[in-house]
Amino acid sequence: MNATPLITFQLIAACIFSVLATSSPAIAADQYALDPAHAAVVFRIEHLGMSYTYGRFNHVQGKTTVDAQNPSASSFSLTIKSDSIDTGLKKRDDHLRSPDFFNVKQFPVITFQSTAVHATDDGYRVTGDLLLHGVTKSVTVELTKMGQGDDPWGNYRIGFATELTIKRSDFGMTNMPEAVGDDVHLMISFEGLRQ
Amino acid sequence: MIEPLWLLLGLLLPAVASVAVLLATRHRRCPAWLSQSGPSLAIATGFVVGYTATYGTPVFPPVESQQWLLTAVLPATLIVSILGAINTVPSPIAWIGRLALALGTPPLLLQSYLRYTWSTGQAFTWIASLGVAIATVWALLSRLDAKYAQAQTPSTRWWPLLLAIVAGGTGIAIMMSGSQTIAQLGLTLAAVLVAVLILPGGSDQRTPRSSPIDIPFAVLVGLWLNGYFYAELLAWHTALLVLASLMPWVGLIPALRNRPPWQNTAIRLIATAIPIIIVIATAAIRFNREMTDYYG
Repeated sequence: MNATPLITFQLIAACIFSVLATSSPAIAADQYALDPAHAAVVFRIEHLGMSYTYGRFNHVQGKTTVDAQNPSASSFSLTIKSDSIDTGLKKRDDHLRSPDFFNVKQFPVITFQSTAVHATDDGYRVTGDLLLHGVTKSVTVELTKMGQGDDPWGNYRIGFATELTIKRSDFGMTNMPEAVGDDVHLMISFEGLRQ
Repeated sequence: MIEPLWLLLGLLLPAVASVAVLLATRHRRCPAWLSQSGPSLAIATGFVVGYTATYGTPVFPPVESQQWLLTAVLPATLIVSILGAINTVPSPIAWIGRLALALGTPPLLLQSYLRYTWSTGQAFTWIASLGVAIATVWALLSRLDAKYAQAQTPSTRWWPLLLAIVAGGTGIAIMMSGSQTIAQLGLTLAAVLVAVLILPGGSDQRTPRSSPIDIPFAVLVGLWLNGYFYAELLAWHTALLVLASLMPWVGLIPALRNRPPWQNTAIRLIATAIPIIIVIATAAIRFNREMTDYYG
């Protein structure tokens, strides 16, 4: 039996599939790796009830699966190195890394892993487990899709942004309540590079 | 920044609570083992009250190192201390318990290092070294206490008060190194020790089997481990603080032993205070330099 026609057919099918996969906009269940250069996890928190102190985490990684046909099959995960906290003042950052706050040597990462994803008009409503300071809580965020498409270097990207407020006391960070507010407002934006 | 309210709840209230427990254990209806364990029970109670003032209601199951100190190391040490005070329990039983605590405390409090930082070889080396060091210092302190307890003079029976200086010094050093909350636990321990040990029945009237040092030493170990591994306490600061706890031994040096009691007491006090002063002074210089670098 001559197997050549079958192999030829498979090669053609594979070529067609790969061309479709690289040229079409997001097809079902695309995998994205977070682009660290275009990911920001910024927070603000009240100081003495007088002003906001802003900070960010400089080391963010993550993975995203976006299934346009079946949004509930999409997933989002984020991993933040807690010692990458940066408020622009080393002494304050050291204190934030200490057991008084993030306790980064005992809790070196902050993670978010989605557990449910629903499509909305402009993105997704994502519910997931946020692990912070050794405590896991379920949070829900409205994730706005900012855009998607080819970048000038030939990569296919997708970008999201969201904001949410959590209470640090919910995660066992209760120190200095008089000086540092309980509500932490998070502003998160990231781009994913399709794999 | 320590709040005035914490001074009340984290220092005064623990002191009052520990004194109340101590007085309760002195009641004539209390069994002998409970009376003999009174100082340990009182110090443990005061520490729990102070811990609660600092961190709020204790978390169970424990997650952080200081939570393990409160919910595992402290109760286990109390049990060992009580066992040691019961005359019918063979003395080696309590010592086996102390050895188990010495070897078991580092892996409990340093779980994150075992999980994230150390290789298997490093973990074994660290845990074994720390266990041996803790057991050695504990044995030296217990031996010292037994010697001073036998003397039963006012100048020697209150020697554990010197541990209050070490606890306070540990707290201040950790505060300037990186963690206010861990530091507050040291200050709480110092306040409780002073309150318990100066009372009649706190440090006097004890037998070699009813040493009040188990609880303070276990807490100090917890603070030193937390300070060095999690709160940027310098290695040589930690070493000096450990050394300070052993300095009361100088009072037993043959050349000094027979000095008048007040001289012997002063020598032990100065010998304990010197390493503490060095630690606090250099920690303050480091703290001020870091603050000046950023605030001008």
